Amino acid sequence: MDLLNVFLEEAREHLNALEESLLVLEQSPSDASEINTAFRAMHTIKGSAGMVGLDHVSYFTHHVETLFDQVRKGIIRLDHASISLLLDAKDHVESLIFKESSNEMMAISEQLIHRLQDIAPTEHAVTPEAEIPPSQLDEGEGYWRITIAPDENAFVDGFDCMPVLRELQSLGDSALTVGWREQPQQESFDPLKCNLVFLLLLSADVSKDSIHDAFMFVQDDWQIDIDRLSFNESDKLGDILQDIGAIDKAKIEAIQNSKPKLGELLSESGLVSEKTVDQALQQQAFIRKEKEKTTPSQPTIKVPSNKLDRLMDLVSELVIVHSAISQVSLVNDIEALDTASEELGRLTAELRDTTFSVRMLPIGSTFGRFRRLVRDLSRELGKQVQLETYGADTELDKVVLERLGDPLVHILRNSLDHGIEMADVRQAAGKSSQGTIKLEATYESGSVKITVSDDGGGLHADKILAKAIERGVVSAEDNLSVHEIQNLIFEPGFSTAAKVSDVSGRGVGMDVVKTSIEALQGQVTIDSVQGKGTAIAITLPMTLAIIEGLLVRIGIEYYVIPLNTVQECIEEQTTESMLHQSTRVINCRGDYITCINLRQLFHVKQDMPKLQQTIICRAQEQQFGLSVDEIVGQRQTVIKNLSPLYRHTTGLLGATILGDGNVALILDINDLYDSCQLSDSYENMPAETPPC
Amino acid sequence: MSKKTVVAPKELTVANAKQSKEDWLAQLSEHQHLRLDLSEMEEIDTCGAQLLWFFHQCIIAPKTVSFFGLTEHAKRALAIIGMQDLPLEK
Amino acid sequence: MEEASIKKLQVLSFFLDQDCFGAEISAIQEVIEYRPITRVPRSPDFMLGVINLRGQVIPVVDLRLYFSLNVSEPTVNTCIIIIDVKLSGESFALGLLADSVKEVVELDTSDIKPPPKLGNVIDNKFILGMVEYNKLLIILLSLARIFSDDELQHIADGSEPSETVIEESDGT
Repeated sequence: MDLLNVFLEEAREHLNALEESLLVLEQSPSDASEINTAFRAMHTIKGSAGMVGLDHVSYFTHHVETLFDQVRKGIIRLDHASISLLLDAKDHVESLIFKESSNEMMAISEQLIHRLQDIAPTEHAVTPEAEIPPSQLDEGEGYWRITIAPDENAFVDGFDCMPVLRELQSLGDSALTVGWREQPQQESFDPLKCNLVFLLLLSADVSKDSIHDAFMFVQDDWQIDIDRLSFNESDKLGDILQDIGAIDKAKIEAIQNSKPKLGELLSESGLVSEKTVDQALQQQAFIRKEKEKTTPSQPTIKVPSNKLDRLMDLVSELVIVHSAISQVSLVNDIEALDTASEELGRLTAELRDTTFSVRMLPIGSTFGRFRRLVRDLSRELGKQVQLETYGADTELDKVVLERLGDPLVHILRNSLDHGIEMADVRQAAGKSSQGTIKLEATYESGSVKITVSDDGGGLHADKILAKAIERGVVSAEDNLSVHEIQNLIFEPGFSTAAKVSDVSGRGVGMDVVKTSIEALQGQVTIDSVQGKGTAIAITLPMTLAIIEGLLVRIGIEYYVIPLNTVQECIEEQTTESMLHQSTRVINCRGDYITCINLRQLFHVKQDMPKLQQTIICRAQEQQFGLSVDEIVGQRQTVIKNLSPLYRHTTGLLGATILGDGNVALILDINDLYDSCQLSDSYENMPAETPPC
Repeated sequence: MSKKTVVAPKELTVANAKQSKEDWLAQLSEHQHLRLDLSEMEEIDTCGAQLLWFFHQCIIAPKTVSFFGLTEHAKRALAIIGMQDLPLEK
Repeated sequence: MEEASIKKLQVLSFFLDQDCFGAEISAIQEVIEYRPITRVPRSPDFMLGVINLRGQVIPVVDLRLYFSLNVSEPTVNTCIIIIDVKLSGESFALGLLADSVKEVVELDTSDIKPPPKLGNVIDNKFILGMVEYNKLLIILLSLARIFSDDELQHIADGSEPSETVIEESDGT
């Protein structure tokens, strides 16, 4: 991949990081680590832009970096105005990098630079580094030798070395050696005085500044040396020993003339302790290993998506083949094969999990976009809104995450536009003038649940009902519960805004959100209390391609029910009504649950057995039942798409290949739920009470 | 050879490093070998780690010290400051 | 009438009920033995269901039902012909149930006669032409037309095969 492409990819990441930091800083202007992140982002872009010849970008970002440097030094304090300016600057850098340049853009650059300089007058001394032309910047491959000798009062002053060392080691590959500054004596050792020195060899693509930054909170009296390693000199054992102060040059030279290994000689002669020599040898090994690498190691590797897709396909195929082998072993009862098959199963499962985790990304990577949206939109609408996020670490399949973006944006826009009220309205209602939107992601029994909730005005049931009647979606006589009314917003073509505001977008309704989520095999539900707020919950399977399924049989046909929708299973005696109706109502522990007799719905020809198994599933926070002949068991199910020929057949999510090579169809629980809602027999059936 | 086993406190930090040093040295004055049980040790800072390192490297023969029961969490903490090679009893 | 070219056509001949049909082999992927087909409920009856072909889930269509021919139980000769088709730009494989498959024959395009206007076993528009080969009348099918985007769309929408309106030339 050429240098420019690498630059573009990394620039995007840095710009995202910068934006996120700015949004955090707006709430906490003195957050040092965010200031740092922002500064580093600008600094890195400035340097790398210079290296790929984007001089104007380098020139512009230099001014942004200058402002940040002053913030870092405490000369300037950030406020709303300056953050807005910085966000504008960030947007401009993005344009400069990704769009074709124009005179207009140059003009904007100058305008922004003027505004930046107004806040950060450059009469303050600009550090010499800032004036160095890009090509000489301290960037690029880095092998560093860092020696740290904390002040002896570090402990009693409340400083601990672990955070600093942890941060440094996180920058790249490293080898750390700890030693005594002065060899302690057993009796006179004072445990409260810090007597340790650290030598860290670091292989990382960072600038000297980044390393310096790790020591930001540490007292000035720590002795810190950061040197770039030049390999030609430093893999000589003697040099290393000198560095750790174990020996001085003269003594080494005296010994060096003999043939045997320096290390042995030194320790034999008692000039250096064996331990010290060991440590030095370790460092030597590290340096030699690093030298062998042609490129410095990265903590992460970029992989083209299609390779990952191929890998996942192969893993899926492997799962299927394993089922087949497992089947053979089961049928033929060969012990040796059985054992091997089990082992294969274990490995396959682990391979599956690991491969799938490669495609998982934390949802937090999208949160930045939402923060920006809430900030900009709330300003535009003149409302005070704050976004709280939880569960940024929650991981989702990459594809699912990508397709989740638009629906979430739409939900947030709705919340801002229709949900949160203006400050005065809120105050009149006894609420705080600032509204809150919570974006939360958690795991819930094999699925990911993402909730967007606000403390706004909630859904206005009467407005919705009126609109629905007007649109002919429901009739005035229908007796709908509040919950049912709220769900009407998912009906196609529904929009209660008096005019379709630009903010919420034209013609995009909650029905599109619902369809998008269901296309991801997820579900979306709504819960709202008028006057208090609204919560929209999206539940998604963690991966698209392999799910845990419940294999069931009706007649001679096999079907799979996604296990994450299954609540429980009940056994019932076959009744007359089951034979003739496709839906019926049962009374389970006091709840009335609609059940679908899949046999009737699917026109299964074989005779019905005496007993039926009814599986209670959950769709859209409602329960309903599916009746089958037999529950075969749990199976890892690889989802295969049904041919495009079947795209109009409802009730099916896809197909899977069973261990015996036959195809089983995977049921689409959402579809089936929808179909049983429309069924007439709901009202007419007397409820049956099976043993629950 | 007389051995004494001492359980290291739950937190080994600048707060109790001095006390721990005195306790352990006192034990060593009465016994030949000190075994430090680190299984209860949940929190350790650089000061505490320095103390352990001291007992590992600076005790004069014939007195000896050994360690055991280091938790994974504590091991990680020691690794951060380069003390991952603290020898443990087999 | 076009000028007959000395072109050759390779055709796979197969039987649906009593009639012999032929299809150009360029669209044919392979021919496999009959195997149990998993029924897909709530789909048109000529869509028999799906099978597992080396890990891929492939739909199988019964042209006999599609063309309203006689249907009989599968025998040892029953095969499934796997062809490649395209629907809305998406390529996928499709299986055709055949009572038996004969052989690949090489035909001269000059031997192909246009189908008669009336009295055909199946709708005219699906027929490329007729050929006599070894005393057997082969009805050449246009797979392209049977499984054109429009027709497939019909199938996917769940309707019956469309019928060509035949204009009566001897007017009433």
